[in-house]
Amino acid sequence: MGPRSYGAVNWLGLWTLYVKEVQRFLNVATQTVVAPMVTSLLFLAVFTLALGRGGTAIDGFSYAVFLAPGLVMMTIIQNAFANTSSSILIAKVQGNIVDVLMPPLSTTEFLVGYIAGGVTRGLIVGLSAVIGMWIFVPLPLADPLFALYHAFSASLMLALLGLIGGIWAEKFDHIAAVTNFVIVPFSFLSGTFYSVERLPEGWNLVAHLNPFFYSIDGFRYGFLGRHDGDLTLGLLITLGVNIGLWLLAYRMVAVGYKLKP
Amino acid sequence: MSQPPAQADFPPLPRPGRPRGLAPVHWQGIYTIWLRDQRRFFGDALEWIGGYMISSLLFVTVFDLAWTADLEAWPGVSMTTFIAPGVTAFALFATAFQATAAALVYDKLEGMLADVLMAPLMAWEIMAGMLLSAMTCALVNGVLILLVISLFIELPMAQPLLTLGFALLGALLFAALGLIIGILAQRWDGFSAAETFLLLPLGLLSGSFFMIDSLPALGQTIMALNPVYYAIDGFRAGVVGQAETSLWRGAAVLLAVDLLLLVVCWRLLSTGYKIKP
Repeated sequence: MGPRSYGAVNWLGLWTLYVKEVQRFLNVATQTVVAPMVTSLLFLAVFTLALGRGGTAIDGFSYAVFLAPGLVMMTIIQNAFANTSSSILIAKVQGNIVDVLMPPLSTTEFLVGYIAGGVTRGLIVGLSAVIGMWIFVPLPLADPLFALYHAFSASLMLALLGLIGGIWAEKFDHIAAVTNFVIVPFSFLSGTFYSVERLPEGWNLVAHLNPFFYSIDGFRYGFLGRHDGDLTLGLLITLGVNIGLWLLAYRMVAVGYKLKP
Repeated sequence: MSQPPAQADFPPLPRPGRPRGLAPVHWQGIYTIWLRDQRRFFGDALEWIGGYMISSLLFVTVFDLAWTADLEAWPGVSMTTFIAPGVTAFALFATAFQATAAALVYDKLEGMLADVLMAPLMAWEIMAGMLLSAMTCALVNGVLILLVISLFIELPMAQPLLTLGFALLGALLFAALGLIIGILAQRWDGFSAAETFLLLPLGLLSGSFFMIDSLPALGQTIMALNPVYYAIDGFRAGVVGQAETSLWRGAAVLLAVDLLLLVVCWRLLSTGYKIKP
């Protein structure tokens, strides 16, 4: 009996890793899909109640309509990050990461399996949040493909960040700190709740260097057909950030940084 | 070769063969449970306090930026000043809830609850230690958040004692609720479901972020029955100096609900529902 041989890609192994990643969060769908949707709907209710008083309208859209796509993107961002970071970190802390490192999976296959799981979580949660919002808020759909691209690229970006964070972190406190002090502030302050034109002069510039801003702005454009930033620049920046993060993640997994002894 | 020590080397045992007597209230035991939960909480202080600190500041910033006009809740009270105590109250109550619920679920799953149940403590003494500890953590968190927020926006702090009173009543309510959830939840899933479907709606939809007259008539009626609304309104009244409803009625409703929850907690602990074999 000779050694078992694979083609250029170990499809079975890749598929198995992907299914494991997806089933991991679908097993607790109440926490991973329903809870984010409920939270985003609560935010919609609270902010609309609080800000609807002044008859706030932005570029002719009622505040609820302006807010809804931003909240969906915020949910996508937080969940795509949570999926890969928690998966890697739990596996590391419990020691069962070897089950993924030992099988004959190449670095690319390892990455694609984990990242595809995170992207799937981001897209499922995003879709369920959009459907939840649609029930209460009449959302237009100006450019569905553009919205889909940004949903995908933001999920990819955060899944990569989550993977990098999960590899770097040694304790749950580390990842909680990154979530509390980096991911949540970025997802709140990058134009989810307001048009960045309202920011003071210096911050306006900062917002235009922030990839999260382009994801939120581009996603909102896909629904409402209005935008604050340059759309092409947004495509280029999100693409560039994703390539950069992919190379970094690839390097970390390939050398086994904090993963292999 | 060493000799066994002579009998005289040991101090005489105090009254051998007689059970240790306890005063009607086991103060030492209550204090120990309080101290244990304090240490547990402040061991993870960065996560607990830092997380709430950041999210409270984020909420205040985001609301402040999102208002297109300079809205006023009442003459002389801007909406941002109105929001700030609401955000703080929400963080304070959530801390109280999580302090009891998470501690109980953790102890139950790790099998450490026996250490508490075996100690010579009455059910109400265990309850007192846990609830007082959760209220202490919540107050510390609330005070810190108020201090940090007041660095950025001006808070009048009209009647600090009023704020303290309603903070205590509200924290007791949420700590007791957390204790009940902690006893009922079998796993972490139950705990996080309670966070999403009970704590978050109660905290967000009880007027911490909006004025009651933004609601339709039905919503206003429901709000008048919601004890958390009174806790937040009273807390805010102490900070900004103006209340939406009657503070006396609020205090009475809160006291009644607190007493009811205390009885439920005591009953659950003394019968050992889901915690004793």
